[in-house]
Amino acid sequence: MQELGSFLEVLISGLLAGVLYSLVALGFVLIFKASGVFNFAQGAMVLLAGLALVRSLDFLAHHGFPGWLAIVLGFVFAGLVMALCAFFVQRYVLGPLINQNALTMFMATIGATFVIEGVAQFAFGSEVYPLRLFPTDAWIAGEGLFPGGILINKLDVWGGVIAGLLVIALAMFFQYTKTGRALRAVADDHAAAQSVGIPIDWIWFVVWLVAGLVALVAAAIWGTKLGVQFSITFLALKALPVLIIGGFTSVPGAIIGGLIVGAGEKLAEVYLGPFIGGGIEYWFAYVLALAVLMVRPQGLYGEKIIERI
Amino acid sequence: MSATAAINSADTRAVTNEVLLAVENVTLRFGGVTAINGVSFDIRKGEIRAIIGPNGAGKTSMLNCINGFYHPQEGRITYKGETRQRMRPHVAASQGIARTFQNVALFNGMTTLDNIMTGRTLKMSANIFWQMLRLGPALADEIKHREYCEEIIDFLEIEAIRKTPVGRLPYGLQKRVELARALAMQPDLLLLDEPMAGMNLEEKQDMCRFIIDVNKTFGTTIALIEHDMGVVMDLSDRVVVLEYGRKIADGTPDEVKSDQKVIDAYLGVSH
Ligand SMILES: Nc1ncnc2c1ncn2[C@@H]1O[C@H](COP(=O)(O)OP(=O)(O)O)[C@@H](O)[C@H]1O
Ligand SMILES: [Mg+2]
Repeated sequence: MQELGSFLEVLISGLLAGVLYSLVALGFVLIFKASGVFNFAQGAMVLLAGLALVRSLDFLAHHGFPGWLAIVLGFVFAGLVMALCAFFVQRYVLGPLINQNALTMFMATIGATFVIEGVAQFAFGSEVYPLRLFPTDAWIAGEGLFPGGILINKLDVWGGVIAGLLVIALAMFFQYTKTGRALRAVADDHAAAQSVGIPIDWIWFVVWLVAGLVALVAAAIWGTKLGVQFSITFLALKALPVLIIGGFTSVPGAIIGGLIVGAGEKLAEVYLGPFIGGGIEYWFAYVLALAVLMVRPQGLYGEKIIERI
Repeated sequence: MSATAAINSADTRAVTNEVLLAVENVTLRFGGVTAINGVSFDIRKGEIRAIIGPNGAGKTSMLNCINGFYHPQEGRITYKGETRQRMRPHVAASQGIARTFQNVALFNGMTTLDNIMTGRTLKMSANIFWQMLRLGPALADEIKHREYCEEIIDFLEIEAIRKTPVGRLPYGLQKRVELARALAMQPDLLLLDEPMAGMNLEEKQDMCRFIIDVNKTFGTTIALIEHDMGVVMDLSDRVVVLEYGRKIADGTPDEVKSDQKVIDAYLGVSH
């Protein structure tokens, strides 16, 4: 029982950490589906969102706004910053490249990454800013079942709940709204979408905005954990193996992939670490991704790409 | 094909002399290739206008110019009396131009019904917050437009595949769904790029019937690219013939059929 308890503890904390990977991967998938662009800038967008949020919260608190009002205004401000970012990316980076090949677009997002990172740090500062939005203490659960119970971080649970709600909202948006239908249409066929009157540039703006808002949520959770700082952009590096595992075009794939990586690396660290040495967390995801690539190149949920010849 | 001819000659159609769309001296180049070379013709309100010609003649490019995918380097396109500059495709759509594609271009991830619903995009008005909640005006809006789509579905006799993902449909039905999506836009001008290519005889006859019915029932003006001469002769009021990007003939089916240049162009050309 003791062992099962500690296994569950590791599993749960891994799954909840994985939620964050899922969120970042989700941002990638949204943009990739709608425009075929692999967005290298997703990590930079998390940084921008985090800095905008934490710095505006500091500013508002400093000027005596009550807590809840400051939080609402802070999120509104950060949301507007992400909208502005989406507008500029669409207007000046991708817009002029419409109908160019995927590699060109990818290179353009690398350029955008440096600009976004630079502007974010220039505008909001480049130190480590602590963010306290969620409780960071822990619960002890299941004391009756396991000796000593299992330890669960409240922040992780908050993260899981918020990410879950976000995913449900996104799914409803895609499935049931006119704009969601238009987004799916653009993802399937640009020319046909335009022919029924869907303006591609507007849809691309919406998709970058949604990806920006997802980045904001990721930044809020991650920032509470480790403070908002430049290293938050590395979160995006973890998204790559998540995407390979889940498939680049699948929203459920991004979520499941994130959970697998999160849980897998924690479990590997704890249970394999004693035998092959620590630090497994840093490379586990990539090895897993390689394994998936060999067995199922399109990822668990991706569409099989059959080249037309 | 005599049945379609009979329907066609029934005098219930509203063909007029009013020009809906005029193309004047349009030239379109891709690098060194001149896809369209100084072509002029017009489409009258209410008619079925065929565009024919051998492969590579520039027919598809012409439709692409009309609905704003391509922007000709020279010439003018006047639609509903308004001469346009560089028009973008979604603007063309909002002015009542709908189309189908030579290679079926459907949204493969969606069902037949959802594909057709995308044709209502421009007619739907409720804002995004109501849409998210599926409440109030958004729900009423969605229901109203769905009803319209159901009418189109009945009209084209595709009730049985309403909920089928279109990727799984046979080619002939995909073409029909594509027509349904275009009709859902309630267009004034419908551009059909080889709507019968790759179909068997029965499917072709169905499609002919639908095209005539659309023209008669909704009064939609139709521009049609088609290779099957029998179909063209039966369906169309007037025919324009392109070859190597130039117009070589323009007139009623009978006039065009007996034109020496057209006969030459079609000799030895497989299609
Ligand atoms: N996007 C494009 N880029 C380059 N060349 C094109 C493009 N579209 C059409 N063309 C060229 O224009 C010419 C006419 O093509 P098209 O309009 O498709 O002919 P049709 O539909 O009559 O068979 C062809 O030589 C074709 O290669
Ligand atoms: Mg063609």
